[in-house]
Amino acid sequence: MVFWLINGEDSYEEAWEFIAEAETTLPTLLDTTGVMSGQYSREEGGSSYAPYPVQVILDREGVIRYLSYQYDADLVTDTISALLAE
Amino acid sequence: MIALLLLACSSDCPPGSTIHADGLCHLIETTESDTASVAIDTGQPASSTSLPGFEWGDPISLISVAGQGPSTSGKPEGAVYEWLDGVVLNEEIALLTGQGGLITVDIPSGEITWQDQTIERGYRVDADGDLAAVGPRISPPIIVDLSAPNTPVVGDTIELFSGYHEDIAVDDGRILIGWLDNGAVLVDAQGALLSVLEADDAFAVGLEGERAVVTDDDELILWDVSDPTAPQVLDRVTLSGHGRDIAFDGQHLAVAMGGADVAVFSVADDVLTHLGALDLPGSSFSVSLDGDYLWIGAWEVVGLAWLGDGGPVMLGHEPPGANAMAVAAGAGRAVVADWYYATTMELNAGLAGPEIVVPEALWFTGDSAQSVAFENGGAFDLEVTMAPGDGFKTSETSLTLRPGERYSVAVTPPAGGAESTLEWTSNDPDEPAGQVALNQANQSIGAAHEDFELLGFSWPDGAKELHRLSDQRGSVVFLAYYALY
Repeated sequence: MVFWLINGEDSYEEAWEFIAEAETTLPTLLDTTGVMSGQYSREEGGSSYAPYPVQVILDREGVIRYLSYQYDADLVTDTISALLAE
Repeated sequence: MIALLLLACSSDCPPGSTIHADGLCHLIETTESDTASVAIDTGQPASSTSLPGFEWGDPISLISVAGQGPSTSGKPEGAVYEWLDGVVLNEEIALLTGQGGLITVDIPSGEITWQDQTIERGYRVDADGDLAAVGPRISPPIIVDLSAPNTPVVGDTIELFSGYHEDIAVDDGRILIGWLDNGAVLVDAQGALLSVLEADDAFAVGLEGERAVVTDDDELILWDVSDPTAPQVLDRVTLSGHGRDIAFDGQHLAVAMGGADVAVFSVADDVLTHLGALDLPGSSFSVSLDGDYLWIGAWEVVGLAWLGDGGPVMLGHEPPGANAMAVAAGAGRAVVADWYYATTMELNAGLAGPEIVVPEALWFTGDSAQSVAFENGGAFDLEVTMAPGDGFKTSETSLTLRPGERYSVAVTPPAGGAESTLEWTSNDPDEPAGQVALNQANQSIGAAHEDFELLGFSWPDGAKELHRLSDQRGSVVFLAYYALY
């Protein structure tokens, strides 16, 4: 099981401060130019906006099995449990 | 600022949009960088086409990108990399520090000429005359003797306090250390305590002659240190956020704010006066002065600004070799602590031009329109023409953007959606043409996630390495995309 935090727009130092304050040891990846997170851009009412937060869960083959713009801890947990059991 | 804009130019358009010369309403992107990029913020006349005293041209030339670049397998085996800060000693020599310890760099060639790896993970370095100091951040600061600048001698550590420190400034035989809740700590060349400039969270520091400046959370404080054992507060102002780095030469003062902007102050008559904000497309967390010029290390770009008559104003920027962690300037040269590289650049004094800022790609969902923002990060008017391919349409085919101006162009795919490119040309002296990829978003449930390779790090160790998604095949992967704003 791999957990990656992917920071879309902040500086190294801002991201560092965030994870240091949270004391999380999960890897933080820097996507400062939005190359990856831009692929999740959403459009509503004729205007596009930053997609954060986005949660994505991939199965062992790298296929997207879960994609959500709202954090739902129960659904995330259930999805991961099911995929780990596959 | 947004409210001012609406009052000034929008009568028939809905809230959140503004009328343009073509008579159509265009969305105002209410981002922080957008508000900071409005030309009147910088004190520039809105109709200016050039900066007085400057000729049209490219203000920055790249001299060299030296070092070992990233390998496809991640961290280069045995390679020294991750340079985080630097200081220019003279026209020929710069000091850089980072994961590879402390190095001297020959500026004309960019080559590493000396290296000390007893310092693990240097984080900040500064120097003046024969004295330098390196701050490893999580372990005590270290004094360095520069009597022979080609072969520095690493000396004693300064073990006055425990806990992290964030920044170091050296001037005239004194060292000032931003030691977080211990305050800004002033020591002599031997590391003996002179005084503590009280602060709750001393972060960035600057020291020049009888004056010191310190950021303390969202405050900027000017100190009189003419008696180094009895410092006095002269003035304090509130910043828009936490100041990350300070460039201070006694006359000019610039504070890198960590986000898209740099705040510029005057210190005349010992009063801190805000002169303006400089806006960049990257995250500004390093600033360095060379006379009236200010170099800015902003991760994706290395920026150059003018603080003299007509300033503060951005002159332009240049991409680094990898990621501009910090920039150090002096004698018309700049050295970039450029993660894998020591990158050197040259200042072309008296030249300025337009600077195009535009994303490299847009993602579409089917045939829904998207907008692409063009911005002028330079000091002269930017002329842009654009031509989309394969049935795509744009709301404009040409634009003129004043310095600091940003404009969003609507891009509409053909019915049913497609992929193509948007070709553009500009009068930017170093970017006459380019393209924006027009892609279909392919991240949907049931599809294979597009592979990527990004630099990452973890707390508390801080070691950085490349992470490639395809290397995780066989594991369940949870990706949480976020931004802090």
